[in-house]
Amino acid sequence: MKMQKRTPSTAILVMALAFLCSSLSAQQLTIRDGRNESSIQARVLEGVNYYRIDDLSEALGFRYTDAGANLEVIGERGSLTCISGRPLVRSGSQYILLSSPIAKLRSSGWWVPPDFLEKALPNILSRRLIPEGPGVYRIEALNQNSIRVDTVDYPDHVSVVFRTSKEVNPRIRDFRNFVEIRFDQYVVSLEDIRNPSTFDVVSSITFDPNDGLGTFRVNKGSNYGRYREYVLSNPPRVVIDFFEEEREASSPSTRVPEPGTEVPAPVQGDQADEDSYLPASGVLREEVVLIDPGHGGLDPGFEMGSRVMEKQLTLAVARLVMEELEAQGIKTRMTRDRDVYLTPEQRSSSANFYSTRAFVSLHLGASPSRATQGPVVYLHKPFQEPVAEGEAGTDNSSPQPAPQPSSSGDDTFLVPWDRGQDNWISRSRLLAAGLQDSLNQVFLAQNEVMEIPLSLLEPVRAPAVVVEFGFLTNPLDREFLMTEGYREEIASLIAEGVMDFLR
Amino acid sequence: MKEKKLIIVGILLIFVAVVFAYYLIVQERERHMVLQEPGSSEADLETSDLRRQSLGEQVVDLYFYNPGKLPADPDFLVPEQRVIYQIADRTLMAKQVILELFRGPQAENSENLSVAGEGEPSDESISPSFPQESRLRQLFILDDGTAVVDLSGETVNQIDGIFYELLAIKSITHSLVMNFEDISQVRFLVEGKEQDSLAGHVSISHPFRVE
Repeated sequence: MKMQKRTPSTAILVMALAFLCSSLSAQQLTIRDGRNESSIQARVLEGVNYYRIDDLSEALGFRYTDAGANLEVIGERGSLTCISGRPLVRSGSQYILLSSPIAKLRSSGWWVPPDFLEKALPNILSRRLIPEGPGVYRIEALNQNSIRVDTVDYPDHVSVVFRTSKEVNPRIRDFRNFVEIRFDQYVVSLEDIRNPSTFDVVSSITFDPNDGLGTFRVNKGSNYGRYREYVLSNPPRVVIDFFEEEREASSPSTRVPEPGTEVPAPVQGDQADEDSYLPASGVLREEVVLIDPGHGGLDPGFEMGSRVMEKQLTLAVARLVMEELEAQGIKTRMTRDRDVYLTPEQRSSSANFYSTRAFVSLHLGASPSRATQGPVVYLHKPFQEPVAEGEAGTDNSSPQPAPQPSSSGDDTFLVPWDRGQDNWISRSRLLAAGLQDSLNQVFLAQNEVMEIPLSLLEPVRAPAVVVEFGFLTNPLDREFLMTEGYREEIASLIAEGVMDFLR
Repeated sequence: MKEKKLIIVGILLIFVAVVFAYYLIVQERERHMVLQEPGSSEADLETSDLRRQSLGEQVVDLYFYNPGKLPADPDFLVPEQRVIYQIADRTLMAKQVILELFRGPQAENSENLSVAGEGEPSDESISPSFPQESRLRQLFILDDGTAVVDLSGETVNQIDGIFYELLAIKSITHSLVMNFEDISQVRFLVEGKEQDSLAGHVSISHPFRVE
């Protein structure tokens, strides 16, 4: 009898001792909640402190569910999806990049790096974590911000004024039928919405207290053209001016959405239209063409002496492509618009952040031989297990087919990171063929599209290609690329290829 | 009698505890060993060693770049014959193939330029598939027919762009699979570690085969 009692307690003691030994060098985490203080043991993996999700969940009061390689962290305001071995956390339609990957260890479950607390958790908790020193946090309830909304009609525009009780840094996003305003630092308590506008530039203003910490929507009226926002202080307020369509239509950077080019399949009727644009989760994403200028910052790409750098040429051409597309009324974004370094994950995450109509990554080729010449368009070929010989590629031969993407860009299903592109191959192939054809014209080449496993495109849930528009190692191509006129021609051919694809 | 039993149980418990603690420490160390920079394991072969072990000579085909061709072309790679030492250890033979590949084509009409060199285009008919200062860190052949090729960081740093990455991968894969019956696919490591891509673009998370 005696020894049966002893065995478990001794084993626990030994385990505790062993755990203590292994975690001696790790920094522990202290979380203060009013007078209570809880300590969380860390463990050092790859030189980074990791915290166990069980301990955090207890200290901060969130739930989590473990589904094999995925971890779902559920807070009062939403949930986060984590994948073992990836430094990415998905929160709604956004991806949050962490400095180190989230780890699932066989023996002790899920572990997260320290910036999970600062970057990921605030998105789902209704309380704030305030750093007080290295490894010490204080939990505080979110402050209330009471907001009154006034609408003022002016001869040429309608001003919607959000009078806030505290200084704010709002997030304002433009959607097809409304403009969304969120004040994420505070819980919003609505005082009043006054003076409905009599002009049909703004049709109504609504407030949803259950969307995040409270979300306002200014619904666009039939005369809506564009808006402009101002964040003012003393007294703190946010002013959004809504203008009619005709007055600003000539402006090049107008926000006027071009019906028919903005959404591939417009649905009749205002209400139906909005519904079709809303994925089931209620998350709205901007529909864009995304241009990705390769390399940047510390990573110059291919260099030829000190005067030719791939990173500069890709950015120059990307800007021209964007100008061309925007001039045609196609909303276009770039992954970088200056000389900064981006990781491949950041680039692919951008593509998945937007509702991307086409993702075009711009690069230049280099070859050990000067003879290699012309443009080559690449698209992703999924690895099959094992990699099949010959032509891989018919989309339905994939061994673990992910759910089919729906036409409305609904992405409420979760696809493994490295299988994002699987269901988009045939669309990507179409985009690639068009771009290859139009670029062959200017280079007088007969090059063909190439399908290979590409780590950049693998996760992208949109039609996606990489274009190497010429070889810097070929003297003719190089001369071509160093001439502004030719760069313009290349850019306009890329833009044309994208537009043909969208049609 | 009861006390004796207790002592035995106590000793047993201590033994279990020691084994458990040892297991934990080993597990932790193993993780770190995988994650930390592994010691340089130079794959350089001493010619005198090879000659000593040699059973004779063997002709192999090295697959270099066919200048001007693109990856979609069927004649993207072009073979050149080379004589290597025939050795009982297949791994040593495969290493010789890779090192010869790094040396570049030896034919007279081959182009041997560094990409930074500016000059008149020559009418070469065979071109190197790797940068001049390439280095193989290690090579293993697994029982399932996978050759694991570990390239140095400096080697892949000199390989820019999808085209060049693909050329490097195809050139090694072809040269190993076509010459060795027991190699059916090639997996790549960089600096001893698994990487998402060889040099930023082409994914190497899975092994490559000859298509």
